[in-house]
Amino acid sequence: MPSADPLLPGTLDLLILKAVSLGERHGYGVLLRLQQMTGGGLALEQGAVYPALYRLERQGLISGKWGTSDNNRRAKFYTLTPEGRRRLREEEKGWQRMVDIIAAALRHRLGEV
Amino acid sequence: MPSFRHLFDALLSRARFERDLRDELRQHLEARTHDLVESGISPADATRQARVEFGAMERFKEQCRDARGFAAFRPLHGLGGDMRLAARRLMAAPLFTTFAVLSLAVGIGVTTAAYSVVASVFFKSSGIADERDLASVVTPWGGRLLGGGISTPDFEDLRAGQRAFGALTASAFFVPAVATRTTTDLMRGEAVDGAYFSTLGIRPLIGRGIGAPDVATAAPVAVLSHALWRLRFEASPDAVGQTIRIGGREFEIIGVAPREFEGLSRPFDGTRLWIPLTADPGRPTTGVAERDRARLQVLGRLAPGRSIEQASAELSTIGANLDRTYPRAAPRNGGPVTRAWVARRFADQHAGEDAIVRRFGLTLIGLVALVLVVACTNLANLVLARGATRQQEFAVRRTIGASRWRLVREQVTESLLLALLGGGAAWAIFLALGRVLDVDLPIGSKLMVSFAPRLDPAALIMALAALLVSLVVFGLEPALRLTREPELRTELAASAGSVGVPKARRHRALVRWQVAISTGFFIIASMCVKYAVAEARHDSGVDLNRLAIATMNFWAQQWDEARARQTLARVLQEIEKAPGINTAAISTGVPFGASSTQALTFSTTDKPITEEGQFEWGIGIAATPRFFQAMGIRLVRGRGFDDRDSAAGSPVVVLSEQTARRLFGTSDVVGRQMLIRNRTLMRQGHSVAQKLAVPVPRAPRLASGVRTATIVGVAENTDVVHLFKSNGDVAYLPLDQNAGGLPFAMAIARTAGDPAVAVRALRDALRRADPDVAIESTGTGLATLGGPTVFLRAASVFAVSLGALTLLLAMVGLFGVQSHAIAQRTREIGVRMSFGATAAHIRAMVLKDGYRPVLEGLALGIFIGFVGRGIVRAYLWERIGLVDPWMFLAVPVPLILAAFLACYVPARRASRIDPNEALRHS
Repeated sequence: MPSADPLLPGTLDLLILKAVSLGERHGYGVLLRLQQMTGGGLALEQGAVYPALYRLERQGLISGKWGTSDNNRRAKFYTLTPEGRRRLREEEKGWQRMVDIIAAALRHRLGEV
Repeated sequence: MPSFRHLFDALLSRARFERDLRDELRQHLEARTHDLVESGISPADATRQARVEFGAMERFKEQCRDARGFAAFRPLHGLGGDMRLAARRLMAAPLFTTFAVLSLAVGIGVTTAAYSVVASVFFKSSGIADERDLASVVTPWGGRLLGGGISTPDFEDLRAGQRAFGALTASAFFVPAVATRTTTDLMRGEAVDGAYFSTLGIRPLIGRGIGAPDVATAAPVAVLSHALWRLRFEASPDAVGQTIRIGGREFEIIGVAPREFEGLSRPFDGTRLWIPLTADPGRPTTGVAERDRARLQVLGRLAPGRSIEQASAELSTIGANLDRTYPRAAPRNGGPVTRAWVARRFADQHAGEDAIVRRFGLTLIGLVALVLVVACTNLANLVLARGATRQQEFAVRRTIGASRWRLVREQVTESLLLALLGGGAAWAIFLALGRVLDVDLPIGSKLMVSFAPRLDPAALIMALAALLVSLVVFGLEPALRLTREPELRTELAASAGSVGVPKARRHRALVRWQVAISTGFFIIASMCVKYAVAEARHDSGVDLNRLAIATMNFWAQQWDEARARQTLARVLQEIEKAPGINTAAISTGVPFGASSTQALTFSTTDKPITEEGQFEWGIGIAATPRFFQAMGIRLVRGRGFDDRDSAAGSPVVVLSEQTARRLFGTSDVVGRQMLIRNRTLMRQGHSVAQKLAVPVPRAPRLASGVRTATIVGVAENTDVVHLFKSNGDVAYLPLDQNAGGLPFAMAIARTAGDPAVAVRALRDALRRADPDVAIESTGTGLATLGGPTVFLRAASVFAVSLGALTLLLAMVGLFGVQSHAIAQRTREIGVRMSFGATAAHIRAMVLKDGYRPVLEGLALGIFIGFVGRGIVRAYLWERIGLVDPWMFLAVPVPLILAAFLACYVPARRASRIDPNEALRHS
């Protein structure tokens, strides 16, 4: 298992929004998608997904619906709401801008200023 | 305020949320386990790994609840679970639980019951509605305010002329002989006018009160007091409609007064019945003008908006007018001549007398309060000790995510459960005590203390509040303290490895006070122990056991001596025939304890009795021959009385040994002559009654004349006037030669069996002899002559039980706290031992630390006891010393022993600790 990096504060919500945006998933499915998306490079207690899911649901960014899982158990499936889709786009843009700014700052060398 | 439905919905949605959350997380774990099994891991390992990967389930659940907004306030969530948890925790600490419940039960149950009893005796309500508005009409005279003394026509003029009172009523005290089916007794009654019950706001318990029509027609009707109803009619509702004889006339019972209301009389000597004013025959009043027959006392309820000063001004105007129109002759008893009436608040009337009674009551309540304090300290100690053991647990749980609210709530739930258990036990104690204490206890032969412990809500709330405060404050303290971060770190650090001496200052302070209070308390209670012991060992000279005594009052019914003697002869015959009675006698009195015994002046023949000189005097008892056997008084020389000593025979006398020595310097006086003269009849007081300022009726004047009598016998000494007073003189005369008149007589019967049975036989015999004879009192020897002893014995038992209880509580508390404090030092002890301290060193250290607060507490307690005794002594027997070295030495012993045990057992355990084990101890 590759050594895992701790999650940057505030990024879990963004990652979950992204994971949910890729299709309806229950909690465990969201987790698997996250690991898949990050290539297993994230150190995350699995349970931590749920408070984030509940938080996002309360903010109206995702919505949960009870259904039946692959192994025929009662499970809650999450989908992105239109509001969530809009927020994801904003967050993606914001994140990209932040990355660009930081990257630009880090590219500077001595004497360039 | 949210509607019920709203709350219900909220609870329902909450339950649904919890279920969904649980299902969702479980589904996650199952899915993960499934995947892990697929990847080739054994199912058992897969389950475990899935849980490990998931992380702290409860913390995430809590965060989910937070995210949903449920966390902010959910007072009811999981109450059942909390209760179960608390119950399990309490069951896991059976000693703690037992002692805590015991402390609570004693604290609430005993103090509430004791307070209720004391309050029912000393602070009982008068039963009168709105006492503040009630004023009585009084006349200032010789520096005092005299109530009563108003004649019927004056009262009518007063009522017609006044405006300050909305309602006005008049009543008069009288002491009739009241005959029921079984007996004839003298008791205090009140003759009242039609407005009496309505003005005082008294609603009869059953039946009706006396109204204006009853007074107008002088109807022979009577209202009974609750006490009389209980005593003579077994509290049967059928009493209403039955008849009783009052002063020889038939009266119909129309109602029963409520329990609290005992008329306008003073404490302990309540009114027993009420009749219409016009139905009271009163005393013969020939030759006295109607305006001078001043026997009414007048009470009024102030009209709305009128002040007591306005009422006084109006009264004095009316009085002055009446004085001008109908000048009064000087009354025979030397009372006021003018009608200088003023109004005085009824509540203030007995204020002076009440103050003494109240002080006595307050002292008792002070003792009860001390028990409460001890129970509180005990509880606080226990809870604090327990809290300290959980400190580390709290710290750890707080770090791994338990919320403050969760920890506090657990503690509160536990306290609540304890309080419930304790409250239940307290309730049982209260009910049991209430049943035991619901009695009428006689003081001496006449007065009666009616205990009617009724749950006093104020007392209950006080006790409950005090205990809950100690429970919650000391119980929550550790949990709350840990909610501050720096404390948390300290605690974690401490549990991780430091060996500092635990901060035990609070423990020590509590131990010190607990020891102090229980010591002080026990020293105070020991006065009563000493009294009880003295009482048990005291030889009064009269064998009080197996004795039945009845006092007859001829004076009240104005029987002359001839009629009285006739009756007495029949009475003696009947008693001698009565079953179960061995020896019977009639006498004019007894050496001590009776309120109606004559006094004599004594002298030798060479020193004639004159009006001016100083002479020996003592109690004079005229009695039938078998008196000495009946009373159990031994004759040491000569003979008693027999048939020779008739009215016609030569006068004889028997002296007590002490009296003979005082008069003649020797007890060998048989055959000598002496002079005797009757003094006024003395009404021996009941000490307690006097101290409580209870009135004792005035005595009639008796004829006097000096007689010479031959001493025929010497009797052994007895107590005189009251039990425990051995220093007084007594002379016995034959009843037939009695010259003092016969206002009272006593029938004395000795039995081989149960004295209570003999008392009934005695009553029956009296009734057969003459149903009209007025019985002032009947009772067993102990109850009648023991006087305040019975009351004091009850008080002793009361105080000693409370004292023993507090001592027990204190010892238990001490043990708990000490052993706990030492258990906390295990690590420290381990370190000391690994540096070379020996077991003896450790024992010495632990003992010394444990003993210090105990010794400080003892010193403090002895001081408290000393002060307390001073206060209590002011109300009790003169004989009990302020400083009683034995008690001061003896009382601390059990506490010192308990403290020693409490220190030694844990100290020994500590000294046996294996250092390695101790250092590993956390």
